[in-house]
Amino acid sequence: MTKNDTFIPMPLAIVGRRIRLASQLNQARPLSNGPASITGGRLFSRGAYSVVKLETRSGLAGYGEGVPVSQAEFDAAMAVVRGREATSFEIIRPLLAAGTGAEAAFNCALLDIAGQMAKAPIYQVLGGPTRTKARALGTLSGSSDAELLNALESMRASGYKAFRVPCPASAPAAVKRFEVLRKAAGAGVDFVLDMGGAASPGQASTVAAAVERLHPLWIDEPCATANVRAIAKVSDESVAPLGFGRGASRIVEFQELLREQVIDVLRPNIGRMSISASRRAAAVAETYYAAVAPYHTGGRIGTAAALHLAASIPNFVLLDIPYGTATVKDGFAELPTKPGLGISIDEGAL
Amino acid sequence: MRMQRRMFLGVAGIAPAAASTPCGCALAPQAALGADAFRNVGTKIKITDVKVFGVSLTPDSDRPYVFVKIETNQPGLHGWGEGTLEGKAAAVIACVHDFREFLIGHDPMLVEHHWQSMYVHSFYRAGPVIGSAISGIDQALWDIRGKALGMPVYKLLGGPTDPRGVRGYYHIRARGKDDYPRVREEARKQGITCFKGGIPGYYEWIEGHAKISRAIQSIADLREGLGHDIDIGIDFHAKTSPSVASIIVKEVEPLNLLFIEEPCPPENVKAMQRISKRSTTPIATGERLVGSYNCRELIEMGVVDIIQTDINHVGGITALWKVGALAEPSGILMAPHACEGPIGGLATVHVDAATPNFLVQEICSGVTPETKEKVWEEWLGFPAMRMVDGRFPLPQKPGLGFDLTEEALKKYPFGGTKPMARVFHEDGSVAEW
Repeated sequence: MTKNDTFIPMPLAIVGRRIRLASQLNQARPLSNGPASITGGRLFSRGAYSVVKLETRSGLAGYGEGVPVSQAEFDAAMAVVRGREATSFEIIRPLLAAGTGAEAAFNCALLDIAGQMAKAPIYQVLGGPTRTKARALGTLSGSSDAELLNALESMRASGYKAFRVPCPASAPAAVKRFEVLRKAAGAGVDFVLDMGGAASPGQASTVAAAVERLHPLWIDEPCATANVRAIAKVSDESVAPLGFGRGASRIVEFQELLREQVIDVLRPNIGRMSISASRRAAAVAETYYAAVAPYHTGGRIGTAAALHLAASIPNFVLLDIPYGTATVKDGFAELPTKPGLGISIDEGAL
Repeated sequence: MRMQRRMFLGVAGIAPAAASTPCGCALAPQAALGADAFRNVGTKIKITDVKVFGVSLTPDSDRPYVFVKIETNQPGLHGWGEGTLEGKAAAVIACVHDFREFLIGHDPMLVEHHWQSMYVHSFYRAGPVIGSAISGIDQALWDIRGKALGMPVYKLLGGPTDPRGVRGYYHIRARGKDDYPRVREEARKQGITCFKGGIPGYYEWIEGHAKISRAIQSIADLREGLGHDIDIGIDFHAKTSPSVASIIVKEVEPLNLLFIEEPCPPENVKAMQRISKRSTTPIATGERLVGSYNCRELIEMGVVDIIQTDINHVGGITALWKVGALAEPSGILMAPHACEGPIGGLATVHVDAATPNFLVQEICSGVTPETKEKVWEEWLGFPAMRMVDGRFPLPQKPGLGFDLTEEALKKYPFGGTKPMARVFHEDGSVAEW
């Protein structure tokens, strides 16, 4: 080794508090090019989401899903991972564009490979399983009570016991809808009221206060999160739990919500924030005694990724399982048990 | 007493299954868990024994090592961990025994699950004794995990940042300031880029000119003796009150220290914040903290620049990793404390290698190897926790990357718990050391 390729320059420039992070120096580090290193990849795009396939020198292939990834984003992420060990997923994570489909898909594909190398499901690589199965959240779609009741009936028949339902921004309408659904569902079925971030903090707080005694699991995205201080109003004026973060790109956004004491349920989008980033956000949330419920609207690979996340963290509560992306029975989804992602992938169908 | 407590709490669902009433709801609790509950998602590996060893390098040692060995039903598959707690060895040994029934017959791969169960089901949130016991068990479980999955632990954690190892520092171990040039020369030969020193003597709640000036001069001498191309941390060891620490920390700003460590005791975050906000000198603390939970306020309040949680007390690999994850979005760096035995030392190197916000790793040794390091080499077969080109090399074998026999420890039987140093001021009042 010559002094020229020293990882941390000697002397390390320290002036006051300006300390250089190891991650900021990563780019200069030699790559591995060993058997587990990434040699190639492929992008499959299918409208609502993209799938990435990565291959290692040793011939393993891993898959990951994310919100749509452009060819340029894919190429940029490939330039980051090419030649690096699949197992260095935590070191690669900060080098990918945060909160993009590429971060989610590449991280998942690397973990898929790491799991195959370990001959174990991803959650076992990550210290799990923390549970034997994962509570599923189904989505009820529709604009009228009748449509929602129809959806409720068919989703219950498919094994779901907890549902995310669209919630009107007017308090009386929200209460009425919730009461209709509760009456039809009976005891033992729970609801997440989805306000989609469209209401103002003032409207959201009125709705939250009106429904709090009906005990929704939580209110999802009651208002926009751009102004963290403004949403404190919702949390101050009601005790209904609040879920935020479907649009978050960075862990620090969750940290801000936790510090302002306005969030009860973290909703990292598994197609945007990777398994690794979501797991780190969960570690932050754990110290605030806050729950994690991965948000997902894509396909089977994303659902599998969210299940591995759910099984590797202690503070998981529920996850979105889009209909048909995993088997749900008596309110729960089974965890994959085969190595890596643990699901079969038909490239032809991609 | 225990029975009464259980009966009292029975309705809350804390007692076994019989006391729990199904509510038929989506979030129904389950009060009891069978040993085979995880059979479909776990492995066939079962824990068969949890052994704990007190190891005194000298019969009068006040900090015997506490090593944990977890054995499994798979031939040759076992794991080692360390829960050394200075001055409280017997208490940690007893606490590890208390956790036996959490583990025997269960799948060792469920490390996060076991961690949560040990921490949460202890009811009393862990202090250093429970924290150190959990740490020893957690490290041993990770050692087993790595061996079972065929990878060094740092790879399971998503590393390494740098395949050549992680940057480290030694303690200055000099015989006065005239000795600094020798240390500097030795450091240059070995590629060492960082050292830690302390401040002399003990400090009263408020101190006068002579002692404050002596402390400042001692730090200035160290900077002058080592030069400006070596990083220096100064450990106040919580010997100083916030009032006294603030003066010293401010006046040493021009020396561009890497950090000041524990400028006051760690329980009161606002007291440390008072010191921190009065100076640009980076503040480090955390070696006495247990669990990521106890680091939250330090991070949230912007009190520290560097966190130094110790893998033998904080809750092992699981908890040290989480502290790093908690600190990262605040731009706070990790410089883990390591002043015990070689197992915890090697375990912490694995976590460092997978921590993006890692700064530097401690080992309580000097540039010249000491007796204890010869013993470590005798146990493990390689010079554990000795730096090469300023870095601790990464163990390459699966798990924590070493093997150790019970036989090797027999030469150093447990000498019992001995008190740590007890120091007093001139008037007989108790002093921090």
